[in-house]
Amino acid sequence: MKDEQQREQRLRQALSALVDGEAHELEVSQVLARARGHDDVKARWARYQLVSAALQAGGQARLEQEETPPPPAKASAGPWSFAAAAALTLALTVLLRTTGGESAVPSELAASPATPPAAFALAGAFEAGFQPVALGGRSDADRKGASLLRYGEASAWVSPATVRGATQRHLQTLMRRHAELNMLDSAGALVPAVRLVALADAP
Amino acid sequence: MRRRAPLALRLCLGGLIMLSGGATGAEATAASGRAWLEAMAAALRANAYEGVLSYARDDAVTELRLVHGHQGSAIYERLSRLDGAPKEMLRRGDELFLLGQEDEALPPAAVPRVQHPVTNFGDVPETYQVQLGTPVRVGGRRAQHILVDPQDATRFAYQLWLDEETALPLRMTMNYHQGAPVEVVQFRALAVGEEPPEAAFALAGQPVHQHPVAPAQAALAHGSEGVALEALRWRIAWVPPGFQLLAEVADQPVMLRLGDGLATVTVFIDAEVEDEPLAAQHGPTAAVVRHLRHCDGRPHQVTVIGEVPVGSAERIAQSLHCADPPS
Amino acid sequence: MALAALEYPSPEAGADQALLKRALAGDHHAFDLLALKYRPRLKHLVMRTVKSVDDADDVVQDALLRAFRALPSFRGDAQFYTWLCRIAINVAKSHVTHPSRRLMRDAEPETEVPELTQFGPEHDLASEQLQAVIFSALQALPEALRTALTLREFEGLSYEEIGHLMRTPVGTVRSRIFRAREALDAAIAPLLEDNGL
Repeated sequence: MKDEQQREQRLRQALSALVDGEAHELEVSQVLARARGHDDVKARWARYQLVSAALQAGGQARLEQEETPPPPAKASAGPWSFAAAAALTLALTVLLRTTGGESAVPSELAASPATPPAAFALAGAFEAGFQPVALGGRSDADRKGASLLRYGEASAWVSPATVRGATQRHLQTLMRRHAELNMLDSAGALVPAVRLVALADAP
Repeated sequence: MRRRAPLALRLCLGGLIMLSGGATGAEATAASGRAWLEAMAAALRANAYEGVLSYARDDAVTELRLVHGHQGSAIYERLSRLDGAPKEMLRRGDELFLLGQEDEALPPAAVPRVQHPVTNFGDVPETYQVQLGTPVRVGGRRAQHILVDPQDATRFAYQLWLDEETALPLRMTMNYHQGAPVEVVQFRALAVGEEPPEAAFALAGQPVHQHPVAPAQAALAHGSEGVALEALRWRIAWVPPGFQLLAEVADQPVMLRLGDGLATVTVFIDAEVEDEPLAAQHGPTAAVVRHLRHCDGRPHQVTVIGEVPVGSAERIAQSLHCADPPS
Repeated sequence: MALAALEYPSPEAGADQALLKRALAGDHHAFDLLALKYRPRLKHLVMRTVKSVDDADDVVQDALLRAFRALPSFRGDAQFYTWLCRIAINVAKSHVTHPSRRLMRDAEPETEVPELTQFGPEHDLASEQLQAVIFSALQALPEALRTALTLREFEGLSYEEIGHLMRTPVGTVRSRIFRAREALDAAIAPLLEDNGL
């Protein structure tokens, strides 16, 4: 009896995987073989699909009614915030599937910071082997004003542990000048403009 | 509404399909990768699109909004930070504006121009190997993965994920050679469609400090004869493979622009400041400060800033020397 | 600016492939499962044209039968659902303009007519009650299960992609999604009980 229950469970799991196009060939055959003359399998399939369609259709409607969730927290030194990503996947769907009515209002730059935007989830950029990890490696010791340096793959402390404020500010000015020149010379390429606009404010 | 890709893009991709049929595997792959990148460059110019993208480097993530369109044949673009202090780049044809808070104003400076655009994936130099990765899904879209490999550790590598349908880049990273990413640009949301109205590119009201940046056609700036001559007496003995001198401005500070079409380095040579020596890597951008003596014996500060590993920036700085033989 | 968002391929587009392959090879039951999947959506679609629920059922059944016959001509370059929609819309229009025209099911005996399963009218996507139950059950799920299902249904990520994000093996992803679906299925079962499902 227990074997039968396990078989049943495996079949239902195969059915679930088939909904997502993730069932193995053999499983597809088993499901189809079982579906012949067994309306309960087809009924379960129909219910799984119903749930799936309802989630996708209802998700958009619901989000349009709900409050905008808060913007994602800046990633700390560590993996991308998975919980934040999961919580915000719904918000991404809304933006992507909303058509019409969105007007590109020019930003009103005022003295106060811009209103946080509607949250957008990670777009889930994945490829085999990709690990969404933090970039660079600023540890606590770094935060005194220097950066962890890398030569190829090796990491080494070279810079002084502290840097004078005047040096920092001058460097910031030159880095901004460099970024500005890149943008001017880029004939409209995206990344140089992104770097310039995203450049952190002077400390 | 699905926008048809411009003819140039379709021809590019059509050529891509033909190429992969005829050439040898490796050649076809390399040619195909470059064709994809050319198609991307064309797509970024020709399409009208709007999106939100995240920019991540070190441990910071910034979100930006991008609106890109055309007025007539001129490209109009608006890129705005969505968090932190407000900051915007506004491009209206040949006009460029950097919009920010009062205290971010930069003094206008002579702007050196270069003959060939930088960060131009449409023309990747031969010093990089271009490979096609496997198609994957990015943000729910099928995307073509492309690797641009410098083949040594003196420069960064790039990876791009191009939307299969539009060739627009959905995600781009800059990586250490065979190593971890230093920078990730990724669209969180993207829509391609009708041209935005002109109002989308209007200059915002007060209070805003506008810093009009000189248009692309500005001529190469030079100081007086004496200063220009002095600038030319500097020589750089080492640059990363493929790098060339793109432009120089004989001013105070002297600015030398180096690049290979993908990455750029600016060398500032200044006789009037003395910062602490340092070497640092801020995400994709290395910064090195060293002090050298010029031909006349005066100390100069050399600041090397660029999108190269810090070791390369250090090496450039150390290789700077006086052109005159010692007397 | 009224931009049209990119037409992201729906998560199920890739999911149709296994069944479609077999349906194209003549497997009636594979086609039946696809028909069961899309029937509610097609019904919604044709309701805009035919106005009556009974007529909508007839039109959808007719469209599915026609689709089965036309399978050899399905090139696979468009999404299967999009192809079904076109057929359904044409049948709906024809039904409105020529209501007396015979439907497929009344066609000549030698026409191959597969047996397509139909369940009751409770399979209605617009049912607010059904959606409310589903979302309530979704919120009640343990976080890992809810996240796995959400990433699959809303983001259209593959099991492998979800595994990367959640740092778990694909087998665990599969199991979590299955358990999440079972829980939601148990929640809606009472609503569909009358139909014998």
